[in-house]
Amino acid sequence: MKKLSSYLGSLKLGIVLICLFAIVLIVATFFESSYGTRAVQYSIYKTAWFGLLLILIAINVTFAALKKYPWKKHQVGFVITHLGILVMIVGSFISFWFGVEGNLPLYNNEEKDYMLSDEQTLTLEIPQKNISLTKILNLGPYVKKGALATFSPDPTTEVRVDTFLPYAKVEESIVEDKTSNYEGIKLHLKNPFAAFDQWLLMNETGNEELQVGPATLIFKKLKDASSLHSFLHTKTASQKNSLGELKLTIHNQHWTLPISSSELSKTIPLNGSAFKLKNFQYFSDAQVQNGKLVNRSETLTNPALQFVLEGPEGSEKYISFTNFPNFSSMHQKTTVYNAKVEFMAHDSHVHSSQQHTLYLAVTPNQKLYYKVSSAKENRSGEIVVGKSYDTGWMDLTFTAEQFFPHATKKSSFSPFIPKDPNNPKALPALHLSFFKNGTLTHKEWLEFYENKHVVFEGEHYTISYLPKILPLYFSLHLKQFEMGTDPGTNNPATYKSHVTLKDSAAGGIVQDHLVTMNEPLTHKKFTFYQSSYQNDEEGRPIGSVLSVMYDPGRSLKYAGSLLIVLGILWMFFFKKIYMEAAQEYLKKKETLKLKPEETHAF
Amino acid sequence: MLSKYALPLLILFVSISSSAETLNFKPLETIPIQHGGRIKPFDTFSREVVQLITGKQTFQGMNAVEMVWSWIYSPEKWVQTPLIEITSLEVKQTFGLPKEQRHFTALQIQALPQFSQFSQAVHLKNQAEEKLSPFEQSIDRLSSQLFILDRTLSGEFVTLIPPYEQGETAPWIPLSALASSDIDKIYADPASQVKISELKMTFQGMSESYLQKDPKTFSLTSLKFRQLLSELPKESGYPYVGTLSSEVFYNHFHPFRKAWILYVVSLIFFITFFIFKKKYIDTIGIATSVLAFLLHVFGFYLRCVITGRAPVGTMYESVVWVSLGAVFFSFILFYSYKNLIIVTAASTVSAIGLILADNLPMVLDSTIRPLAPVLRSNFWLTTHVLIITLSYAAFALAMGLGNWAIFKFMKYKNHEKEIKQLVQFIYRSIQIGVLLLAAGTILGGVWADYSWGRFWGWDPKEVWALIALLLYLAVIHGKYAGWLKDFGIVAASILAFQGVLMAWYGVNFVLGVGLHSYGFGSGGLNYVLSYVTLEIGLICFAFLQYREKGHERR
Repeated sequence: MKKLSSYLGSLKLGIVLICLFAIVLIVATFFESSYGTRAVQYSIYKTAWFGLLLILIAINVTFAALKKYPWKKHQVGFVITHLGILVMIVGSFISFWFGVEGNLPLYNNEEKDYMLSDEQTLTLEIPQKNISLTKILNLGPYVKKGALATFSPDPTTEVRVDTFLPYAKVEESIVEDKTSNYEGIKLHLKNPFAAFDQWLLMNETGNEELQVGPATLIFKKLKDASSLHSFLHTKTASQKNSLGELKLTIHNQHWTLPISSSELSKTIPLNGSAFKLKNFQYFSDAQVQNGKLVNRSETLTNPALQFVLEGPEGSEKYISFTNFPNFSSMHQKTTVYNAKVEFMAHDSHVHSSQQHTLYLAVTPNQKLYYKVSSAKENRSGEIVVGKSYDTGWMDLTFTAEQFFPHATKKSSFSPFIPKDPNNPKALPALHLSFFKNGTLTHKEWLEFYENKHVVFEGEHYTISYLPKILPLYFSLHLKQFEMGTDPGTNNPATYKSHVTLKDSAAGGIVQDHLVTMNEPLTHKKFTFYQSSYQNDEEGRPIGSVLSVMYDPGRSLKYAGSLLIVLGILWMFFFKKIYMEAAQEYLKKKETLKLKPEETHAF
Repeated sequence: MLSKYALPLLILFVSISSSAETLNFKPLETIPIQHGGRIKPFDTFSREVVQLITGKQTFQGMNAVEMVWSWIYSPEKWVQTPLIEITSLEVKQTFGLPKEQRHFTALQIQALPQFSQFSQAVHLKNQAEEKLSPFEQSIDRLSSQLFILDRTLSGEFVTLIPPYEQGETAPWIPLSALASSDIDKIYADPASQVKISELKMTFQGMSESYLQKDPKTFSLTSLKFRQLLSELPKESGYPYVGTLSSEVFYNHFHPFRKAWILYVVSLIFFITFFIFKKKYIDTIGIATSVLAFLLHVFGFYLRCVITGRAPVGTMYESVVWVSLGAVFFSFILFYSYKNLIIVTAASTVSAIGLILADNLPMVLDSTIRPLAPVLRSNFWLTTHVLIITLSYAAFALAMGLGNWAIFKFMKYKNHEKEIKQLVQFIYRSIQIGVLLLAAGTILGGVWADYSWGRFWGWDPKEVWALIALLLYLAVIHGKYAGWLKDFGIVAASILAFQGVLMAWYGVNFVLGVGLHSYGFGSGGLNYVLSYVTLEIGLICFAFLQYREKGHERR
């Protein structure tokens, strides 16, 4: 027993451990440089063997100190330092096991009573049967295959996660699908400066529009011969009167819609969401009169767009002024959807001369026609797949490379190797296989943050892949995030989050706080730090990201730090006296021809 | 008779012609200009711009201020003058430019086929925050040289007119605005309008007198120009004269250059003393190194005044600080051990550090820039950075002494006693370093805990500070275990310093990841690698020599 303890506390083991620890850390930093922070945390710093190495160091440090008991005066510094290291390692383990880390992203005017952890969850719900199953997935930063998680909502059904992509590349393609009623056409557009491919997929309105650079592509479904005739022979250059562009952001999703005068009466669905826009009203020179918005003149003095956003939780009215893009965010009260809208009016005169539109049409018997209108002429005719047609503007030609009478959109997922793993610009994705009585009958890809509706064997499933939510038991409301810049530049100089803390449990606290870099906010056990910010497409800040921490090992780590520094200082003060003594001792030994290795002089 | 007047006439003639050559740019040096996120004197702005474009602070015998005004007055001449420095051979080869030529004209570069395509591609990569290859970095530099030259020639970059009542962060108005009516809209009130039209006229006068080489008018108009600018603003605290003139003084005085020259001089004295053992030479040497140290401190103090913070925010500043610390510790050790070798080693380390800082602007950028948000106004930050870099200074001193000892080992026989002493000094320096590095790393944890909420996050900079500490701990424990003898400690003091170098330079320049990415940059890797190879080679060579001599001894 004594032998074991003297071995565990031996100086030589200590040196070996120090060197081993240093080597592991060197390898780890180079590993991080190539594979990123998540990878190094997952593969080295947060592994059991790394923990074991720290425990070994702690044991060695403890026994090295105990071995010397009873301690002499000159050993005080040494003992304190070693105790400090032990306390610090214990503190780290407590933080690691019992600490909580999370993120709290907030948009301006948003309130949350929960935070998001780094862990990911997959939830499967069958609302009809009142089933809701959630699993925590900690899959790390590497591609994984095999049964990663399994859900069995009933004995005959099994939903299995069988592929995990830490960074997924999502490619949308149009494929032939006999069950679809929509036509798909692949255009190849080319001029001396550029060439690119563009798919157009018909939608339920029978009118698909797409903005490609300065050009607009319109794909129409024609009902009969007379509509074909009017399609081919009506000059359209002046038909479309573009008013401007509307940018919308709802819950981190962005849309950009061209707004033309012909669309004002329509209802426009937002792709990929349940939202619709309707009841548009356009003002070229908006002014508030008697609490209502009116058009004062036809000049573009104060262009504005008003519309109604219709979504699952009711309708809301929005208004956006081109010249005062922040007006709505400043003056609108809290809304349900908290959409950010921005209407950029075109200078209509300039715009119409630059407006180029390529019309494509498909007849009921699956024939394709085109029409290009320019100021000079109107070109139109039938399209033969594979043949090139001149548009008459900017030397642009187009070719219909592929045409599917029945087409559908398909997303394909593939692993993506990010150039900078710390800024991957790609989200993780999961592949799910649905089994009924042991046979695979349905497959689904799901991206992180995605919430999907799936019909499987006649039942409606909702699958969602989201960060794990941790309740705070109080809430934080972001009134405004501010970013200060260096004089005359866009370089951020300060980040400020003006927040309101609301805690009904603690006697209905409502307090305003300012969270800035280096000035966190602490409430109950959590501390909120200014971590980063959220911006819109133009880089303007529209929200803040706070990191949330709870660290129960903090006081131990501070105590350990203090002990280490005091211990080293102590060793310094006594070193001189003690070194002289040791040197005398060494001299004596040399004369006695003893090996200096035996002098474990601490 | 004629000769009676000849001399005065001659004097008059000479004085006219000589004054005609010397236009006085002094009054223009201290004009405040908004550039790179802060208000700086025109002198600093000119130096930075001229340095970026030509690679030097003075070019063709003109100082930077004169050069920039000359660009503004006669742009058409300067676009045809070879000004733009290209150092990358790869760039020259790609565009078929002569290899031996160093400077090229703006017109020449603009006319290069495909240059705009390369430049565009690099711009896109920059926007996507992707890493650039060395070739792309050179293209990036060339693009910004071209862009900044173009904008400076046109006056658009010369933002020295204060904005009208718009707060501290509002962009200033460029000189080019004087040519348009835009400025009349900004300064719309009648009183300002008078000033603005006066400013326009004065600028015109400056321009004409410059071109006609009329020093008197130029001097008068320059002074008037400066005065008018200071009278323009309505509320903000324009002139800032105090700090701006100390910055101009700092620019002209080159305290760190003078310091390294004196360090070198002191080294010469020390070496002379070691060879000839003449009395007083050692005293002169110490006096010189103290003088150098005082200049060094003075320069550091000036930089503190100018930046308004402890200047350890960039690689350049930390090199200056570490050099300072090494000399400081050598004085302390000299006080207790009275051995000249300590100061000699420190002067060598400090001179090398300052020479590098003075001569490698691409790697050690001396520009004063605003700090990243997280670094601002925080006591713990400054403390932990200062203490950690101070530990580097102690380790650098140990390394310098180690190198001295390595040479002694090559002739081991006669130097046994000296080596024993050196090992003692090395060990002492390492102890100081270990204390400071441990304290600094822990304070870093305290700061990280305070501003990010975690004490330790295995960030590469943190980890490398820990690795360096572990390396030196291994040395200390190795000595106690009897594993490291004299040669071992000397070699370890040099080898462990490579860990410091990695923590100090390598994390930012080699690994290039992590939260401490404020001072990130690239370049200089070749210098560092050659240093590392040299040291390792030296140790191996000395080891072989030492072993041979050791055998002989037996």
